Amino acid sequence: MEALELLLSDGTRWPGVGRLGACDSGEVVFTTLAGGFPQALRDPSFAGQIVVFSFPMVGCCGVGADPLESSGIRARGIVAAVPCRDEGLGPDLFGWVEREGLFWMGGVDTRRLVRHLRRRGPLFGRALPAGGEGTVEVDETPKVSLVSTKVRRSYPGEGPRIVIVDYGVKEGVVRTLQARGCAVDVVPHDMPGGALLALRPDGVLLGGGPGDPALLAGEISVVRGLLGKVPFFGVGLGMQLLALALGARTERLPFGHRGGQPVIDVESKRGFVTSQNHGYVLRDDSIKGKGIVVTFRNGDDGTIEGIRHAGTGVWGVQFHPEAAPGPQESGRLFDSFIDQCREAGR
Amino acid sequence: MKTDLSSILVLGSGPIRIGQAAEFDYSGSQACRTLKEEGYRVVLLNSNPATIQTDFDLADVVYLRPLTAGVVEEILQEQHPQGVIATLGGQTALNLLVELDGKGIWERYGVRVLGTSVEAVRRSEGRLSFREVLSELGEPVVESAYASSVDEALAFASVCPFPLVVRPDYTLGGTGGGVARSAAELAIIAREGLAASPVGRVLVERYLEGWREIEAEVIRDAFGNALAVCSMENVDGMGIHTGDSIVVAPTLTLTDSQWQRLRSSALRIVEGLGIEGACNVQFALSPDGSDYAVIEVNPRASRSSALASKATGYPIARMAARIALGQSLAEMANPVTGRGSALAEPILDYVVVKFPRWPFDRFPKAQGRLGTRMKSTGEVMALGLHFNQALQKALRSLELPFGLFDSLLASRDDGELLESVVHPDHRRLWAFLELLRRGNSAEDLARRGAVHPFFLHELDRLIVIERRLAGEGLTESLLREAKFQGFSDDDVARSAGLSVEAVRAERKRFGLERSFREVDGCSGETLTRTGYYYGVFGAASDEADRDDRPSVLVLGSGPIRIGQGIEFDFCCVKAALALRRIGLRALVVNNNPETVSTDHDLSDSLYFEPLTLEDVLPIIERERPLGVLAAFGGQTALKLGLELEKEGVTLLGTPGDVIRSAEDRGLFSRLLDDLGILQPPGQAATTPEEALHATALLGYPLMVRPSFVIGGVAMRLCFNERDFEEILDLAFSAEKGQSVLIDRFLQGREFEVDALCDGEEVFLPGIFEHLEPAGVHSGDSMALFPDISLTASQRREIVETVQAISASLGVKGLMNVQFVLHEERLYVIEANPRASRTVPIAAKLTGLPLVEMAVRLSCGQSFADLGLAPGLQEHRGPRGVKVPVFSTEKLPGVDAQGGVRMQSTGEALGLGDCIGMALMEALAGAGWTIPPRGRLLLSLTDRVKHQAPALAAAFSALGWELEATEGTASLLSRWGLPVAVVEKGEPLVEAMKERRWDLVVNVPGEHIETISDGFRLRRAAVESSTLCLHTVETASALAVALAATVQGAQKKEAL
Repeated sequence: MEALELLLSDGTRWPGVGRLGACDSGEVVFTTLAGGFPQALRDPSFAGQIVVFSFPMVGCCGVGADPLESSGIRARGIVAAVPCRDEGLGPDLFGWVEREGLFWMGGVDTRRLVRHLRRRGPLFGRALPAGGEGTVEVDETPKVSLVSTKVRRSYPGEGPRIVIVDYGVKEGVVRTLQARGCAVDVVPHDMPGGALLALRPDGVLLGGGPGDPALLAGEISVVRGLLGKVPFFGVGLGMQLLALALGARTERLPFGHRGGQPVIDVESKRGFVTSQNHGYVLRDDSIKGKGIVVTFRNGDDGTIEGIRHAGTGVWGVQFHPEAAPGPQESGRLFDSFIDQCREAGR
Repeated sequence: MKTDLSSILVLGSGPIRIGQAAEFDYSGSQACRTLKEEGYRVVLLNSNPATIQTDFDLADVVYLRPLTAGVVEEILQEQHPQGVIATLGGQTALNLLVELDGKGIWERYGVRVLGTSVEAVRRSEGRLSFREVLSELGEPVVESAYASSVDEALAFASVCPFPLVVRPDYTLGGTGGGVARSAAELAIIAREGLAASPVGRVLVERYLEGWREIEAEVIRDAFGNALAVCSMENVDGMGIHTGDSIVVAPTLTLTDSQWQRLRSSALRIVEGLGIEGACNVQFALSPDGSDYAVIEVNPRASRSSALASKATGYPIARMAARIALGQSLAEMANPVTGRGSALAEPILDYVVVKFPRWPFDRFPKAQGRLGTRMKSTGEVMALGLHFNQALQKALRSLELPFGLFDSLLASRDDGELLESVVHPDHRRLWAFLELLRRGNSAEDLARRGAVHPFFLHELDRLIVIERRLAGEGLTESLLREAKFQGFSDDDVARSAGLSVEAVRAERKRFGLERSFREVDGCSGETLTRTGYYYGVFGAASDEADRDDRPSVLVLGSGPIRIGQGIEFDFCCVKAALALRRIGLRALVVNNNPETVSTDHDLSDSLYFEPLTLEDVLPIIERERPLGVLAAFGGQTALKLGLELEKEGVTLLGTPGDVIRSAEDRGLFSRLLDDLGILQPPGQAATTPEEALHATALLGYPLMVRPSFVIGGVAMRLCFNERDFEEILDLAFSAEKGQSVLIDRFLQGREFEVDALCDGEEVFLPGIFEHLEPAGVHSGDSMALFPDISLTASQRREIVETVQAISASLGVKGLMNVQFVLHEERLYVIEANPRASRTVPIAAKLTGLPLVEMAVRLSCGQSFADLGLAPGLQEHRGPRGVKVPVFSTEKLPGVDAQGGVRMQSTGEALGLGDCIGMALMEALAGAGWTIPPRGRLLLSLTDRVKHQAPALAAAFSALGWELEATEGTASLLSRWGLPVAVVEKGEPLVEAMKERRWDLVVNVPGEHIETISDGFRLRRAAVESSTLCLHTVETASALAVALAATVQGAQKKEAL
C-alpha cells in the first residue's frame, strides 16, 4: 500500500492510500450501492470509469459469494472510504481488484468527493503517487467495442428465441432470460441487420452498455433498419439506441444515476425501486412527433425511464430489471417482453 | 384522498414498560403532527402523561384516560370521529383496535379503520393465520406448534428436536418466553409462558441456533407502492430478542443477493398481507446465507421503525400516517430531501449502531442473561464512518462508568468470560473485548458466540490499537488511527497510561478534531439541508451555509432508563420549541433513537452524538451558541452542563455553582441552616470510617445515599447496624471521590413541588402529595395533584421555604423541592434546580407551559414578562392521580416491592372531579382492572398489622371476600371479621398463579428478603398480573376510591 492521490480534470487532488494499476485514468463516477460491489465492478457499463463508492465500508463480504456479472472487471479503478480487508471473510475484494490490474484507493473522503462530482461533474481523473505530477486524459471514445462479445454465443432453450445485442450487457440479463426458458443468442454490437434477422429471432433485446449512445452511429442505423420487423426491448443503453433510431436525442446527466432509483409507471401511477447505472438520458424535448410514448419516469428528477413506440410496439427501459446488484421487483418486465415475443412468433 | 374524513381518533400506547417504550411517543407524536398539518381534527387517547404526544399542542382533544374499550366507546359518543389510526401506538393500540372490531364498535359508530386493516392485523398477529398466509406466499417459516398445556409442548418436542424456543401468545416484548434444551427445561419455561400469555397459550418453535437475525423496515401504501426504508442486522444472532441485540444498519455482512432476496420477500409479505403503513419483517438467515425463514411480522410502527427512521432520516411514522389518509408514495415528495420521490429508498453513507440500555445496574439480583424476553429499558444509537466509530460512540452514549475496558471482567478467568460469550448476558461485548485482549482469536470467539466473524475482526482492531498505545506511546499517526477507530480520549489515556488532559492536549496539538456531516438520506446525491448532524473522524465536514441567528443548545437526556425516562424528553422538546418561539435557533444534542427530541425537524439543528464533554464541546465550538440549557435533560444533562461550564461554556438559567450547592449535601445543609429551614439531621462521609461515626451520632433509621443520585442507585434505608454494614461497600463504590450522605430517616407524608423561579420570586403551579409514606421513592409513589391534606399555613410554609431557597441560591428556571411532613413539621429532603419527573404532569394538569416559562426565565425574562403572579396557584382543573407502572414481569429475580430505589419504568395519569375517580382511572390506565367487589388477600408485616382490621373492614363493607395469611387472619378473626386463612409458601403461590385474588395487599418487613415467602408472593403476583399494593396507605386509598366510585355510579344510575 502506498500514499496516492486522485487528480481530477478540474485540478483538485484527493488523497488516499492504495495501489496503482495498469491504467489509472478514466471518467470518475459515483455509485450509491450499499452492497454488491463485486458485481457492480463487472458491469460493462462501468467500462473505462473510475468508480467511487458512496457507502464507506467496502469489501465486508469479500468477493465471490454472489454470481458475478460478465467475465472481468470493466472499471479502471475503485475509490473507497474504508476498505475492509479482513482475512477469513472470503476472498478479499481489493486483492481481486489488484490481480485484475485495476488501481484502488482507500481512506478517501468519498462523501466530499461525491458532492464535488455532483456539482462539478462530469469529471475525469487519474490516480497518482502522492504529490506526483501527471495529466488527466479525457477519453470519451466509445467503449462498446471493447466490452462487446466478438463472436456469437448461443444458449439453448425451449421458449422464444431472443437475440441479445451485446453493447456491454450484464450476464444477469442472459441468466434471467435463460431462467425463463428462452433460447438466447448473444451477438456482437456490430452485427449487421441482415445477419441478425437470419438468426430468426422472436425478439431482439438491446442490452446495456457504456458511454455516449449518440456516438454509436453504426449501431443506431442497424436498429433503425430493423424497426417494425421484429419485437424490440431495450435496456439501459439499448433503450437509448432505440430512441435515437426513432429520431429522438440524448444528453448527458450532470452526475448520472448509479444505484437504487425510484421509477413511476406513468399510466398506473404506481412506483417501484430500480437498479440503475447510466450517465446519459433521453431528452424530453426531442420525442415530440416521433410517436414515442413515455411509459416510466424517474421519481426523483422526472427524467425519462421508459418508452414505447406507438407504431412499431418497440419499447425499452432505462433501468436494469435484471438487478444484480439491486432491487428485483422490475423483473416482471422480462415476462412482458417474452409474452410479446411469443405472440409475434405465432 | 379520503375527503369525507374530518376528525380522527389516534390511539396511543399507554405507560412506558419494557418492550413498549418511548418509540411510540415518537411515532404517535409524528402521527398527530402529520394529521394536524393535513388539516384534520385530532382526538387522542393515551394514559401516559409524560409524553409529548399528550401535550395540548399536538391534538385538538386529548383524553388522558385508560386505553380500554369502554373509554374508546365513550370518546366515540362524545367526539364522533370518522376514522381511527391504531398502527402508531404499539401493541396496546393494536390490541385495542382488534378488540373493538370484534365487538363491532367501529362499525356501529361508523368509524373507518385507517391504514392497515383489522383483517391484515389479525392475519399477521395470530400465529396460525400468519403461518397460513406465509405458506400461501411461498415464504419459509419455522417449524412450530401451539400448546395450551405443558403436555402439548412436550408432545411437540417428540417430533421436533431440541433446542426449542417458547413464545407466549399475545404478549409484549416476548414476556415469559425462553429457550429450552431439554424436556425438563421445556416443562418449566412452558409453564411460565402459559401463565404469561393472556390467552393461556404458547408457541413452541424450532430454535435456529447460530442463525443471523436480519430486519427489513418496509412501508407500503394502499396502491401497492412499497419500499424498504432500511436494512438492519442484529450483531447478536437468533435467540436474543432484537430489543436486546446490538443492531447495525445497513446490513454489513450480507451479500447483495442475500439482502435482495430478503428484501423481495419482505415486499411480497407486505403485499400479501395488504399492509397500508409501516411494517417490520424479521428474518433468520442461516450461517452460510443460503437459507432463510420469516420469524415475525409487525404490521405497525415499532421500535425498529423508530430506529430505522432515525438511522436514515426517513420519517416512517409520518409517512404511515399519510398513507392511512389514502396518499400515495408515488405522489408524495421525498420526506428527507424535500424534493424527488418518497419511493426513493434512503441511501446511507455512514454506519449506524444501536446498543441496548439494560436496568441491571439497578437490579443487582436480576438475571443478566439475555434471551427471547426483552429486558432493556431503552437504547442508544450512534452514527459513524464505519462500524467501530459508531460502536464506540454508542458505548459512550450508554453513560457507563467505563468505555472499552470493564474492570469487573478483567478479574474474571477465561472460563467465566466464555460463559458470557456462549450464554450471552449484558456484558457480552466487553467479554469479547477482554478475551481478544488476552489473545483469543476472533474466529474462535465468533464461532463460540455465534456472531459473524466480521464483527469480531472489527473488535480485534480496537485491541490492536490498545496494545500499540500501551507499547508505542502517543505518536500523531497512532492517535489519528485511534480516533479514526472511534476511541475516546479517556480510552486512549487509559491504554497509553496518560491523563485525559494530556491526551486532549496532544490531540489539539495535532489538530485532530471531529467533523460534522449531515444525514441526507441520499449519500450526497441530492444537495439538501436537513439540519441533522453526526460527528466523524477521518473526513471533512460538509460545507454548510452559516446561519448567524443566535442559538441555544439543549442537552438531551440520553437513553430511557429507570429513573430517567421519557418525561425528560418531554422537557427537552418543549425547551427546543420554546427557543424557536422566542426567535432563537434551537440546537439539540441527544443519542436516543426512540424519542421525539431526535426528530430532526423539531429543532433547527440536531446533533446525534454521545452526551459527553469530548463529544459536545466541538458542537459548541462549531455553533457558538449563546449558551446551553442543562436543566431539562435530567441528571445526564445537569452533569454534562457542569463539565461544560468548567470549560467556559455559558449555562443559561441556574448557574453551575448554584447547582453544585444544591447537589452538594454539605453546602446545601449549611444553606438550609442559615435560612432556618428544617431538614433531617444528617452528615456527609467520604470514607466508611466517617460513615460509621455518623451513624452513632444520628441514630437509626437512616437514609444512606451517594450525592448525584439518579433514581436512587445505591440508596438504602437502614433500620439498624446490620442493614448499614450490608451496604457500606456498595455506597462507597457508586461514585469515586463523591461523598455519601447519611441522614436520619423521618417517617411521614411526602410532598413535592415544581417551582418556577426568576432569581427572586417563585411560582408554584401546585403541590404533589404522595400516597405512599416516606421511604418509597418519589418516582414509585402514587401521587395526588393538588395535595389534599396540607393546611393553609403548611402550604404557605412550603411557598416561603421554596422562595427562600430559590432566592438565596439565585435559581432561574425550574426547581423541584421535596418535603416530608414529620410529626406536624415540614422538612426539606431534597432540592434539585432542574426540571423533574413531575413537570409534564403539573404542566398538563394546570394547562401551563411550564417548560417554556422556565426557558424564558432562564433567558432573562421575569414573572412580570410572563404575566404570572408569584406564589402558589389555586388549582382549577380536574384532580389528578399518578400511578407508577413497573416492568418487573420482564425481569426474573427482581423483588417487586416499593423502596427507596426507583423501580418503575413508567406511569399513568388519571383525572377526575374527585380523587376516587381519578385514582380508579389511573389504575385502569396502568392496566389494572379492579372489580367493584372481589376477593382480597392481606399479608401485613407486624409493624403495620394493627392497621389491618380497619383496612379489611373497609373492603368487607364494600362486599369483598377477605383472605389473609396466618398472622393477619388471626388478628382479623379476633375482631370478628369473616376471613379465610391462606397457607404461605407453595399453596399461596399456586393459588396466585390461578389468579385467585383480585387484589393483594402485602406490606413487607423491613429486611431485604430474597428467597423468603414474601418475595415469592410478590413475584407470583407480578407473574400472574395480580395487583399487589405494598403500603396500607395505598390500599386504604383504593378502598375509599372504590366506595366513592361505586356510590358515584349508583347516583348516576338513579339520575
